[in-house]
Amino acid sequence: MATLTVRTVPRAVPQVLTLTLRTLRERWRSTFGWGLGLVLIAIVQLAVYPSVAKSSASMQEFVNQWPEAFRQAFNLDAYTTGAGFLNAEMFSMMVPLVLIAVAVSGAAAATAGEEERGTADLLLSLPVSRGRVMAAKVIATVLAVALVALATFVTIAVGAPLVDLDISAGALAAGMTMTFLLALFFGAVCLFVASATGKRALALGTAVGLALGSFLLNALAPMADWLEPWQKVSPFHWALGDNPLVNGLDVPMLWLLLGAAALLVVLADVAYHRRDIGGR
Amino acid sequence: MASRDAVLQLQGLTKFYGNQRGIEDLTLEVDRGEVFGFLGPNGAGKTTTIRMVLGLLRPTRGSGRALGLDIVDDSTRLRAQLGYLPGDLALYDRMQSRDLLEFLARMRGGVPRQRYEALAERMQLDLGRRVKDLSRGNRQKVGVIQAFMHAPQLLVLDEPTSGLDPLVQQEFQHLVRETVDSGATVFLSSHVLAEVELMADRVGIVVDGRLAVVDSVDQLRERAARRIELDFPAAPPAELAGAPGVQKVEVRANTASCWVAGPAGPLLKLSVDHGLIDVHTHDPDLEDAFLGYVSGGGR
Repeated sequence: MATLTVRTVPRAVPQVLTLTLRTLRERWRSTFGWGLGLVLIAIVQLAVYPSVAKSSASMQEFVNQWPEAFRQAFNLDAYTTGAGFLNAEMFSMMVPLVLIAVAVSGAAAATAGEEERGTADLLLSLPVSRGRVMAAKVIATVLAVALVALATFVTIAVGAPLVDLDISAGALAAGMTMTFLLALFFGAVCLFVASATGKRALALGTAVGLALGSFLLNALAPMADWLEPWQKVSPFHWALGDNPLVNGLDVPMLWLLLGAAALLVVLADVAYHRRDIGGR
Repeated sequence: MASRDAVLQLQGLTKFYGNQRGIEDLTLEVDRGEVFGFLGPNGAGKTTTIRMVLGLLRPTRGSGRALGLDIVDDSTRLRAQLGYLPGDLALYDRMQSRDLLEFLARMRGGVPRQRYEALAERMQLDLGRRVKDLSRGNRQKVGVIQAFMHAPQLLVLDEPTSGLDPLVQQEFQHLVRETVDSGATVFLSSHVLAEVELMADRVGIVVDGRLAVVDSVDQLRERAARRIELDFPAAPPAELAGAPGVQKVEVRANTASCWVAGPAGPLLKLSVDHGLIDVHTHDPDLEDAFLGYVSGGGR
């Protein structure tokens, strides 16, 4: 039997890194799945673009016959331009949806997931503060979302010239960045509910419900006069309302999304510190 | 209060879940180098107490210090010196045992690989298998190894032997003994008397959220009523029930079963006077003491 030594709390960076890597490894399969799915969708969309562009005149005519509100909702105006096509087929729904899914599922697994599986007992019996656990979980989730966003960005950036789709890397990066921040915002919502209640399903439901609601609000607002003033409260509108694929980064909105997400993470951390872990 | 060698000091520690009592007003000291058995039926508040010491639960009232550190304010520093085996052990299922132990070791700032490999060998655990493919007993071994591997000053073990087969339990008891001999302190909870009796120096019995008694195992055993069977040539005399120390008498034919606490001399003397033929004694069992506290609520 070894003699007893006085052990101290390990240094923050290696400890947080260890937990971050462990969490990423645990999330790897699901992250890879979402990423692969989104990349495949991007490839399919790029593949059909040449035929859309070839019949551009008739296609635009066809699109113009649809109700105006519908066209606005799905960004169908200028459908046949590069940015217009990507907006309609990728950024109005698929990209935000998948990035939000990665962020929200990562956030739900982070604190509440460990609690529900019972592994929180073991983890929090280690000489690691809850703040460091929170930091590692947040870093891992942000990295997972970033990885999927980056893979999709690279796919489109590399594929677009091959099919003569006209989009600048800068504009594409701006669109992807705003969508990335949108996903982080809903991830932070989920993390806050999860850390305050320890209930994974409740956190998932709240965040997914809010995301769906704000997606619909943003999409439907142009169609109904009474809804229109409310569009401004939709995070989807904050992120994509200014059409970043055409107009570049919307800096004030970027800070709004980032600030709101950061605030929610801080609140999540405060709530997590107060939680009784599994008082079964 | 501040006795020098107290490794764990709990002062009026209380936890309520809403209106429901977890543990109330627990005051307790555990000395360096002892094995303290925390005994009680399921749901008595043992796990609640342990989870407060680990910082998983916040006390409703009261305070606690372990190794000189406050269990709430210095929790992280305290946990660096603690080894903990959860009562309801859940591990990262998809990992191999070896990877899991290595991960836990890194989170503790590093533990030599030989430490957990040696423990695995002792407990006869194959570290190469995935946790989810392990039997309950083998998972418990992983739990035991991670609690001991960093040679902590204080071990807090919640129902440590549950799921372990008897041979491994024996190995575990040796491990506890060696750990204590090296200067560590062990606080273990159990609802199984036999194991506490074997390992613990002192015992605290908790019933219904309250500490009923703290005493050494020897003292408790002495206080526990033991059963003495007395054979007589005819029906046993009625006076037996009145003899000093006799708590209960059951008569079947010419044999009287007497439950006696303390010296048995007076009872035997009385019996000899009535023509005693034979005596059968039964080892005092902590179970009797324990059951007395559980049913009678202590005292």
